[in-house]
Amino acid sequence: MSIMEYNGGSVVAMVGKDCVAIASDLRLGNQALGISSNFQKIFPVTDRIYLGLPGLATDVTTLRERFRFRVNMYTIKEEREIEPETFAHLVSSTLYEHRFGPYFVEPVMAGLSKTPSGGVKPFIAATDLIGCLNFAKDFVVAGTASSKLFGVAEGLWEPDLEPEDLFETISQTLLNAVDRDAFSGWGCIVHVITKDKVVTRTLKGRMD
Amino acid sequence: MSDRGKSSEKGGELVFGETIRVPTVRRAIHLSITRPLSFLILRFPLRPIYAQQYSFDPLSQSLFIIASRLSSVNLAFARSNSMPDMVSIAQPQQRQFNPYSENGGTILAIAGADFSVIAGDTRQSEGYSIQTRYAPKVFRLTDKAVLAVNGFAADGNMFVKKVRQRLEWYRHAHAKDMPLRAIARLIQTMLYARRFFPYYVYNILGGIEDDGTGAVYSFDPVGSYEREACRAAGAAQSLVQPFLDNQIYFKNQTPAPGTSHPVHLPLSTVLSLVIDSFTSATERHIEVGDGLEMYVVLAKGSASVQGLGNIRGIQELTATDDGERVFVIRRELKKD
Amino acid sequence: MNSFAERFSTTSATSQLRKAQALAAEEDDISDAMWGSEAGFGSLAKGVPTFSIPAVADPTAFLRLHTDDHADPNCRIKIQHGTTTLAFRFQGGVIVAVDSRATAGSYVASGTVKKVIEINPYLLGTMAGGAADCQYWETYLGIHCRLHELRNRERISVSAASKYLSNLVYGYKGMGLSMGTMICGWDKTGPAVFYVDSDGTRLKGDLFSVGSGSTFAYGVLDQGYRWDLTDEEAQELGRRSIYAAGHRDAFSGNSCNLYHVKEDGWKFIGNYDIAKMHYDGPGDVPGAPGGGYGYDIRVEGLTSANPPPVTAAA
Repeated sequence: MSIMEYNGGSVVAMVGKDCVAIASDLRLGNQALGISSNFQKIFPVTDRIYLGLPGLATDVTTLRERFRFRVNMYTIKEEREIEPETFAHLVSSTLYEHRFGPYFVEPVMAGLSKTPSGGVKPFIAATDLIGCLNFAKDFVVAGTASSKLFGVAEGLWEPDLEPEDLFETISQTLLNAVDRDAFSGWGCIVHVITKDKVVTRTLKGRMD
Repeated sequence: MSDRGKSSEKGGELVFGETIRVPTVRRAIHLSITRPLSFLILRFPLRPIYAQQYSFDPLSQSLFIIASRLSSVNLAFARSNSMPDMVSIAQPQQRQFNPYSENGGTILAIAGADFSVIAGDTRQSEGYSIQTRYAPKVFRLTDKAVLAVNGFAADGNMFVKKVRQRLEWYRHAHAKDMPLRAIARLIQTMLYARRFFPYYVYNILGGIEDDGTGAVYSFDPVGSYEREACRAAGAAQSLVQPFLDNQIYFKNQTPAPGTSHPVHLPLSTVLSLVIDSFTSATERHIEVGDGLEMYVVLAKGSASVQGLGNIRGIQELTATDDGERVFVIRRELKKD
Repeated sequence: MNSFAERFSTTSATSQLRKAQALAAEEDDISDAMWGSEAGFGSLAKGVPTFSIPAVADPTAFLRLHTDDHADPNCRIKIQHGTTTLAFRFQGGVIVAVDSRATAGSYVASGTVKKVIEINPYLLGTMAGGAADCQYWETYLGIHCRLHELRNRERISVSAASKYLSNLVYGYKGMGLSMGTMICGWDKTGPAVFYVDSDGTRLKGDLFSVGSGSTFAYGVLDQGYRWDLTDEEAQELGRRSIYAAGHRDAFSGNSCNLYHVKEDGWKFIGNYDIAKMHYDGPGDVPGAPGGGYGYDIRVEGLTSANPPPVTAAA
């Protein structure tokens, strides 16, 4: 069994109209055995950036703290909040530092970046486990259910979805994908990030 | 052979299309008359050679069977005539017999109330190379049965050929086409007959049952089967199936209060879902693309026939006047 | 040339060719029976199953190389694994309960598999291991149980049926068959359960569970099992055990199929969605306590870690 499948778990992020959404399952497993149905894989980085870390659970916890430290250092030095593009490169370089002994995690980021005119621009990105960045315009997926997520997202997603429609799209994508994956599931959590607020909802998923 | 699936490449393996090597043993027999004995030992490992390399067209199974039988005949003969007590100075040769390949592509079938849709893309690939952009994976068996095969194309084509032969014999013996559920059981026994040398083929059978309902049967390579309403198989099954769960079975969807989900979808909806499934799979899977063939089987007097008239490029394949009707709809998919 | 020598020689080129042609002709394996009304029996056309074997020195190693996903996770022919099945004997008959998930690697290939095989109205077989092996051989067992009835004018005992299957698969031992099955039924001796697997093991017993989720099922089953269970209690125990396995085991789940074997044969009790059992319970069925089976459903509002759901105010 691959080490990426040891604990299971999946994350997806999608772009909408002036909003982004990021969602994950809540399972923590030990191979086939389910351990926890409340294992968070998505963490807030700033008020407008969320980071999802599917992969090996021990590295998820370690990296979360590592990114918190680095973002805090950035904020203190620069005296401003980090922008999503900058954070994506921070993630990438942090992972590449461990090029030959990597963290077994495939991060997914979602956030809103500020435009010069004072508006916001949706931003999503994902990297592989050594930090190769993928800036997608539609959606990014990672984790044990990634192929299933790709298939459903490709069929359901459309451009310029309003926050509520984006929530429905990302929820349906995640729920149906994890139901076809043995190592993901056990509940889901969705964050929809808009200019004014972040709406977080826990979904009632299949528990098998 | 593809770069992926490396694990099966322990030792030298049979490579399709490589330069021919005449059975080693056989050549040695002829040579033994003129060559010194030491040479004979060199060419005769004490351990049997497990398989020879042959060059053959992977689609021509019959040649392959003869070739493999020939090798066993010669081996038996060679072993009894070799000199087992001589000290071999050569390393024993060992080769793996790998008659399987994976040719990509995806198939899909959906059953409706009085119709069935069976679809497949037409790309045939091996590894990262496209062998052809048009190799059908979906075949009309009778006016009420269509079989889609996916996996190793040579096995698939051979299997369809053998199923068709059995259906023809049945028609000669009984003066009617075999019922769908009987074809399903026939396919099970035919696949299981190869339990120890499997056809590397995932089958999906679609059509109309005797009671006029649309049906889909899906099989694993050694013959376990199940009747379902919808099934995707092949390279992009994990992309397509969860999408279909959502759109056909309405999984994870709650109907508005006071309403319920339809049990059977109309043909037009099913066809657009099939097209969407394949365009999605083409976007995200390298082994899917080029062309799409959708077979539509209609039950006797099905009203769905009205919707088929204005479909671009539809072609009727019905052969008998039993009442069931078969159509094929062809579409282009992206070729990159 | 010398046609006499050619005809009786065993080594000349033409005789080699002749032998090869004879062998190639045999390869067709088509008996006359297949032409007539027997067409449709596949490998059973000759009465006994026949199997094609690859022409290699070690066919078993060949098969293992291409099918066994424990030895090689990348091998091409995937045979489905992962399951939970259980059967137990009690005062009111036999309860048979199974899940319905089939997985290939991490992919859930099907959530609607029928893992109980209805051999005949008095016999049930469960399915774990190779799906095709179980389906095929238990169907084949059904044929022979019927032949036994016709020959002996009485139904075959569960013991004899299970032994027939056990002897049959023992004949293929080491060739890669994979099945772990429970043959359940009611005969002259009363309710009976036999465990039969592809190694040739055959055990008589009161209570068995087979598959990757069997440890979870045993946990619930052992705790709740008594001989004098009522029918309703027994059915609930079967359901609850499969739920537990479906919940914890990644390779089990989707739904539970429940059967009850009594003196007049088996009866299908129902199909229960595992997700529905988790949140709402199995519905209005006799024996169910009401409410969901899920831990966090049962303890909702009872611990600080699991507060009651937020009211509409938020």
